[in-house]
Amino acid sequence: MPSPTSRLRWLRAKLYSVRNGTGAAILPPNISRIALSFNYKSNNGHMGPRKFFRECLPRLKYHNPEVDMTVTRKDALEGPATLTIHFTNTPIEQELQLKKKQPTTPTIRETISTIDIDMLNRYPDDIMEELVTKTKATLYSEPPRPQELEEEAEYLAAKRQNELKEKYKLQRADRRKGKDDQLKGAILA
Amino acid sequence: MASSISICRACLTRPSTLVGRTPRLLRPTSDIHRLLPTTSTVPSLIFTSGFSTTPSLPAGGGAINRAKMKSSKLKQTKKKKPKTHFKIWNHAELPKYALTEAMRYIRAFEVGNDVRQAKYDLAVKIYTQKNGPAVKSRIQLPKAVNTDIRICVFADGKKADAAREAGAVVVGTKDVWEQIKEGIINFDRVICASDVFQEFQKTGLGRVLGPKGLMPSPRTGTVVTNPATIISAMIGASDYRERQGVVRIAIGQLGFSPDELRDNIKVFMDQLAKDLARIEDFDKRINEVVLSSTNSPAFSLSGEFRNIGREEDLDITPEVIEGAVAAEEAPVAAVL
Repeated sequence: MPSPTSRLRWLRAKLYSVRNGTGAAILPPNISRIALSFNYKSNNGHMGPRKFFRECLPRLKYHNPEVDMTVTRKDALEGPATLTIHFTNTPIEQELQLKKKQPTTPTIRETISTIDIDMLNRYPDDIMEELVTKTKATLYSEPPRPQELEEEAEYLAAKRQNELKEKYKLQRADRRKGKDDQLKGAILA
Repeated sequence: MASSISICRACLTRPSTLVGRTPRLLRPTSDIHRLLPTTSTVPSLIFTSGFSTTPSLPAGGGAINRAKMKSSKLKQTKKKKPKTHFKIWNHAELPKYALTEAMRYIRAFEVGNDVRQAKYDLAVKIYTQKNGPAVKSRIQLPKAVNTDIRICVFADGKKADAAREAGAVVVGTKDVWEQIKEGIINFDRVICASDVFQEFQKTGLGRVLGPKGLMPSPRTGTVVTNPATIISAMIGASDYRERQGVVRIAIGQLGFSPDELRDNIKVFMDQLAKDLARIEDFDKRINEVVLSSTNSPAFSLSGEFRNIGREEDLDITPEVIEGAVAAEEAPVAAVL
């Protein structure tokens, strides 16, 4: 098992990128499911959908754990690439009760209507924009860190920089000394 | 600088050529003069070494010193004691995650993958010696992870029929062993009836089955008088063993709810603690519990089910719904 420090250093960055970025939006509760359908190969305009799936969908899933997200991919080289949004009429109050009892449990909800978004030949940002307008989702932004934490982080960063400075100074001195020694040795020889 | 070093290297490798060339090197415009301290003993030394065949300092002095340094370094490294324990780290100050929080992240990383194929994976780091007994056992989780295990039974006669009825895929003795020798292994577990076991040992299949962890042995409970009885228990069970100081086990399918996963983890950890306690004379302790999945990063678990300290941050659902209701009333604002 790798050491915890090496694991957590990049984990923190990874988690931040899952919480923020294009795709970080909170969908309204009347959406039960989002289904993507596109090809394995990126020929004929299927690159955008793939990027959307890889970059935006994890963020969307993180902010909407209850929404079912399915991806079906085909072996074909051509064909449509669509994103289907399924709407339900499950009342909000019942939803709340369900959540209190069993959070993040997928509950089966009937779909009453669907909306299709054509993803062919489009960039992920573009697809996301249309998704947000059509679903009336609210964009998520990370709340700012409290003042204390900010100050502490600054202090730690400054401390770290000073430590590095001294370390490099010593290293440089060592290197210079080593070179001088080498030179002396050479001349003596 | 670089030119001077190249000269030095040349000197070290070919000292005889240097003797002839010294006057040229020591011209006032050469690099060496600039690099050396102006008034020191070094220039005089250069002259002595350059012009006398038996100088006060030996010609290869530097090299010898270096060799001495190397040997002394080697001695220092030899003094280090070999490590008896697997390395463990102090992770007290590093962030830990509650189960639901970790699950939420993992579900996000695993989006679009098959819920049945992807598995939650639990790794338990143990403080333990490198040699000595290792933990190896089997557990029946409250909700089974692998429901499609293929079992092979070495038995004949009535026992073979009983095993086939109980759900074994491959049943037999000599014909099966020959198949295994040819390399046809289409099963995940092996059970051996105790009356065939001696005969089986003579075949020397340990070389084939051993590395795959399939070798039946009385110690692991895979050599039984009546194989049919343990098949049903085996189908829903999962094996685990300690490797390199870590016990790893698939603890659940990705579709499991937090409650189901919590129960599985609880039962597993209880049994593991008992296993560790059972090994006497060896100090074995649980150091860290890490949850990950097939395609997600690993999360160090804090032991809590839900994050108590930061519940307001996590449980955003009521606010979200209010926000969504407001958004429906004023869609323009929501878009922005």
